[in-house]
Amino acid sequence: MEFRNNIINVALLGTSKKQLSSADLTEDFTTIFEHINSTTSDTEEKYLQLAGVAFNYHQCGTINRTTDQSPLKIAPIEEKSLCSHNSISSLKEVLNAENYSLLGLWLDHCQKAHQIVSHEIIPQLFSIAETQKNLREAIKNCCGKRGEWLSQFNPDWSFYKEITSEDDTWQTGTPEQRKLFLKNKRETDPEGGRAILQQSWNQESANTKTELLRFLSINISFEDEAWLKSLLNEKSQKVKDVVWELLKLIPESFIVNEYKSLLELNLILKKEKAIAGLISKIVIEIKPISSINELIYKSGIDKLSSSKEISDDEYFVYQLMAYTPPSYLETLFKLSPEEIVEALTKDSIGKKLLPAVISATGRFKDKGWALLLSHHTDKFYHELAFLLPADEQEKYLLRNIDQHPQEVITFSSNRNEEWSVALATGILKFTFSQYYQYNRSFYAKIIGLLPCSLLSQVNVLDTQVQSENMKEYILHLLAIKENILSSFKKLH
Amino acid sequence: MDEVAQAKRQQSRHQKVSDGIDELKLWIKDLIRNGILSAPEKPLTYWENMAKRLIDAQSPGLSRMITNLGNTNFYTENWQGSFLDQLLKILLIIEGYHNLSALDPALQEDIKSSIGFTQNQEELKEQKGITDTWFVLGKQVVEEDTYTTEKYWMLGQQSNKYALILQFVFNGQGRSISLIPGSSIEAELVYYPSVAPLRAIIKSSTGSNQTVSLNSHNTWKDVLDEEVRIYSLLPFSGERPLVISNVTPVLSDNQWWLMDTAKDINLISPEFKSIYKLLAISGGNPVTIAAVGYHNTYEPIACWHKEQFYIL
Repeated sequence: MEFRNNIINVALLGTSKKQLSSADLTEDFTTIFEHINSTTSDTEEKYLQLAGVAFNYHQCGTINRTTDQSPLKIAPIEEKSLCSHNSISSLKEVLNAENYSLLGLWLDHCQKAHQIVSHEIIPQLFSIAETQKNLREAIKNCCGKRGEWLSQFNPDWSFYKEITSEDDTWQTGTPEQRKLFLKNKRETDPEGGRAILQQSWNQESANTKTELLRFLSINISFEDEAWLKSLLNEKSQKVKDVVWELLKLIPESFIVNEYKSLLELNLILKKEKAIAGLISKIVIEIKPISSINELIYKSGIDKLSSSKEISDDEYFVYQLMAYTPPSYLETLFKLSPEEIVEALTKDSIGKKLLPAVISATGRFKDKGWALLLSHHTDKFYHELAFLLPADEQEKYLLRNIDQHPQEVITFSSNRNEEWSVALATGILKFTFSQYYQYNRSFYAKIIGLLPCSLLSQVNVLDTQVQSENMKEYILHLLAIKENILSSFKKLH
Repeated sequence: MDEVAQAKRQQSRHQKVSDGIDELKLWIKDLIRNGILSAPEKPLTYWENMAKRLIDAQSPGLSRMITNLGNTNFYTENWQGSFLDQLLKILLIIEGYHNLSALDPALQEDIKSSIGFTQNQEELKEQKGITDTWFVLGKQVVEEDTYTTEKYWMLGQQSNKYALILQFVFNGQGRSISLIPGSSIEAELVYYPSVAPLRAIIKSSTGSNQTVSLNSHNTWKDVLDEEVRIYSLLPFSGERPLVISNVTPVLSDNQWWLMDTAKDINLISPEFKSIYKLLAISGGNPVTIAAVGYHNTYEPIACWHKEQFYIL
């Protein structure tokens, strides 16, 4: 190879500075060198002729490189079976459509079927996982042992790296991994979740404390109160604000009990006779607020109202009610929820306080009160809809679709259950009319929620859709969705 | 046909090409005299002007080679070697044209087609071709400024010959063939005249998709022996396809290689985009690879694992 380097070096410097000598070449070139030297005196011509011969000499004499490198460790055998040909076809359709909503649906079915994707698709899914963090776990589950093996070769796929123990996750995981771990822990073992946070609490920064503490809202209970109370001495105001928010989620916490006491003193419901004593009605009164413990204000209750329509005293009581379980009102007034709601809706002060009761219902997740209130409001409240059983939720959404379409669409788009045909029709009727706001990206996102039965009711789309392209687009995505469902159907 | 006029046209073309390659030779000598070390700093016009003059000299093949020379990636570590190799290939073609009459007729055609003389396809179709079951190993698409070149790499089941079918598509027009990698056709292919035939046209086909069993090289030594045979006939031969069995991807010096059972390795082209797909399919196990390339560097276009074909 030395002769080739010599030839390259002369070319680099130029024949005006350096020329090839016979010593630069191998013995095989002696005759050729002499022949070329004797037939031309042109320096560049000599070089080019020699280099031309050497070029072919080199390429015909090349030998293969040999390695002592160990071969790659063979990927482990899969434990799950590969999914069907039809399922893979539907996955390819999803990938071609670049629709992550349908990809989530596909992955979900694949996981439920305890299957994995064909190996050749794994790199494409990993590339998606790089940016779509919400799909990572599902992609990992669907890529099996081969995916785990493959991830070692690309640093961008380090998200695949398994953290072997809980301790490792909590001690050495990324902030996102730690948050996910704490979230899962609180969902399955609330006390365990609190315990690990307590253990590392003093080593965490104020910002991390704030972020991690928020996960205590999951399955929060009176068991958490003692530790949370002790955190009110934290230096960071941000941390203290979160602690107060958490304490206000515990129905039996000392601060909620304080609120209850204040309500008992300041909120009065009394029966009065009306129309010459023929009927009785419940009147709501608010007593002037005085001598309030400073702790109440520290907990986040404001002194003054910012609205002209609501007095300072009314606003004070409003806030207390928003942080008190609605069931407490039943105890306080010895009335049924129906009677209390009727009183609130008929009384001028009660009407102002009703949103606070709705807020408290959502905060303390009281399903009974949510169902009752859903029939007594002319607005759409996410917090109520969230607590309703499926059939009641559907009715509530349909009741509000015409008056509050935006709110209903936002809520419906964020839930996991597929929409009924009636709800889908109602929503599409509105979104088709607002085609600048609800474009392709909206339909791409909600396609997983649209029922496939719309495919057989194309007239629903025909009469409402403004653009033929949009209709085709939705039908195309729905057809892919149907293929996904049918390809996994036999397995479930 | 007016034979006198045709002869006159041919003489005129020959004169233009001769003048063009004389000018090219001077340009190469000038480059060599001053040293290729300055090549990376040359302005774009340096390459473009020479390429344009070769177009004027009715030598589009040489023009494309000069454009490619200017497109050398000067940021890679060993650009000097490949740059010089390209320059010397051009030189061999130039010298070959100067001595055309002394060469084998088939080699004359190789030189002429490298310069840019076109072959009349109708005349070609009148010749007898090779009828075989041709398996489509792969399809590569190269976007040029005004057109797209589609390359279909084929392998005949009985003949064990490789073939390249080229299709040029201008603004989406002119697509007459569409072959799917992994499928096969019963067809008669006529090769362009060459000492090492590769480019061909489909004279006739009856369509087929039967399962075929293909011959393959078993070691890199087999591949190298075949390459050397071709270089001895056609020193400026370019990329060619191959099928090699029992190779395993290995990582060495931060580059991916294909290792055969004798532990010989050849480089996977750094341009290859589907290395992770190949790894995912192989799982570290040996696979059969169809690749295109030459001189120790190959770009995989397809692979077989457990008798299943995959496009890469």
